[in-house]
Amino acid sequence: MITAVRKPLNEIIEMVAPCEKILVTGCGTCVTIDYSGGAKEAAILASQLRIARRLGGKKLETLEQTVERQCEWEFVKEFTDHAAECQAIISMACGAGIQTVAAAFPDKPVFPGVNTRFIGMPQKQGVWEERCICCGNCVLHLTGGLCPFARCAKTLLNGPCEGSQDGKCEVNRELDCVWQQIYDSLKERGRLADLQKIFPLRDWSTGEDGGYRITVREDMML
Amino acid sequence: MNANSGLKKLLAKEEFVVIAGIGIPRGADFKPLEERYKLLEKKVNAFYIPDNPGANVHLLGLAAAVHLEKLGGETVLELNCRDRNRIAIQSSILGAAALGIPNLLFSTGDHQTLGNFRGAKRVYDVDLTQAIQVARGMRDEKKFSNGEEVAQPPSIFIGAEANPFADPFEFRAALMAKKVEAGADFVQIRAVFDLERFGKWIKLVRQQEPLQKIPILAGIIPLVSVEQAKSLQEAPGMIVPDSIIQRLEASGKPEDEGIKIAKEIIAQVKKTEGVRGIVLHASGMESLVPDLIK
Repeated sequence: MITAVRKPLNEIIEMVAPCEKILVTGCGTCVTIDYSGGAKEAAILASQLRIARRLGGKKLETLEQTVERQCEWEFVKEFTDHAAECQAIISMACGAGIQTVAAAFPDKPVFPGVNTRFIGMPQKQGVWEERCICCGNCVLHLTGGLCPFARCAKTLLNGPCEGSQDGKCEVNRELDCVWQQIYDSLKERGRLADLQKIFPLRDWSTGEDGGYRITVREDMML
Repeated sequence: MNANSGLKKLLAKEEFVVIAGIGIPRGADFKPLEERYKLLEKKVNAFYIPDNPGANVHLLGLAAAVHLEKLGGETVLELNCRDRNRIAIQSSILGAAALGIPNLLFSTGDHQTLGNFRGAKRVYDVDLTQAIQVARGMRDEKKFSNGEEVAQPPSIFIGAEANPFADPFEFRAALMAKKVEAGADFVQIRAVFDLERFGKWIKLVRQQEPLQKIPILAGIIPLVSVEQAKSLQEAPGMIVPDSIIQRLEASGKPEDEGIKIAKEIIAQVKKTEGVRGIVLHASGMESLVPDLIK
């Protein structure tokens, strides 16, 4: 899933300062599951903003609406009626959702309500960990099912750096060294010999280094 | 210009080599470098020029290396993968070789969040093994990493950083073999304090076919205080045994005890098969070096 965290309240208060009526929108998919930007979090943010405004002696009106996915035109169109009544929209979706809303309502200011973090998974209740950087050229079959780009701070492909110790990363001793994990995983699978291969230079242009990416599938086009 | 590695010649002659890691200034002035150089002039075989160590800004290593070469000192210039992509690495190799820098040491580089510029963007386009492979390809096959021809191949002696004190321990010798297969002519290892671990690592190294003839240069850091030893104990990739800290604490003169410890470690690594020299990391402690290598 794509994970996010709510933006600090003061930042959002500042964004909506010129507005008297705003639409706070939630997204029903990833950010609902990670408790950062679903219907419940949209309602909480709306009430926090109203309270903050009232404490300043003024009034803020809010509407709230959550759709299935803010990253699709057909869903964000559902905001049309509420948006017409408001001066601005707060989107609590991930960056993809926020940009879809901004593009769908070009006459309104659209503010981000969350900071999008990463593609990851809930490791346990309340803890999410990054797993994928969308590099566009997966190597998980070579690395024991652990991604050295998402999980190694130096995106190394030929083994650990010189700072890995006791299974921990040199960047932060709270982080596991993924190369220790890759080694253990390949050892358990009887595939340590795979690590002796020298992986050549990588083509990073399939990832974010090649400009923003567009996938075109002729077979899916109408 | 074709660089001419004195280090390569010394290693070929089976001589024990002494390299001094020299402190690189953090200002636009060579004077501090010259002062440190004078303390070590003609006392060591070469100078190791670290590349923005600790992920902190220092004067450009290439500039420092060129200056030392002009003064008459041979240099080993570090090029890390943290600060340069494949374009900059290859361009640095050409520039260094053209300026007469004979020895290049490739490293991964301390992560940028460990220094004082935590918000810096990472590079790591090329990893250490790949950087060595690229350098070897430029020198021996006259090819850039994309296959294009190098007009004048760089004459360089290629070094790789390695660390016996990092984990996974069982993989460290095999990882070093990868670096050597990629093209490393010599290997420079991190500072040795834990001789037991070092001995275990050497045994694994001896079992690796590609490593039988590779010259290993062992890192040595003279300890001058208990605080310094404790701070090194906490540094990533270092092992400083408690017994060493206890010796410094028990001594009335930690600086003298530190020198004694360093001399013991040098004596031990010197008689280890495969170890062909030392790299004394004496940044700020250059005055201690002559006594250490007596």
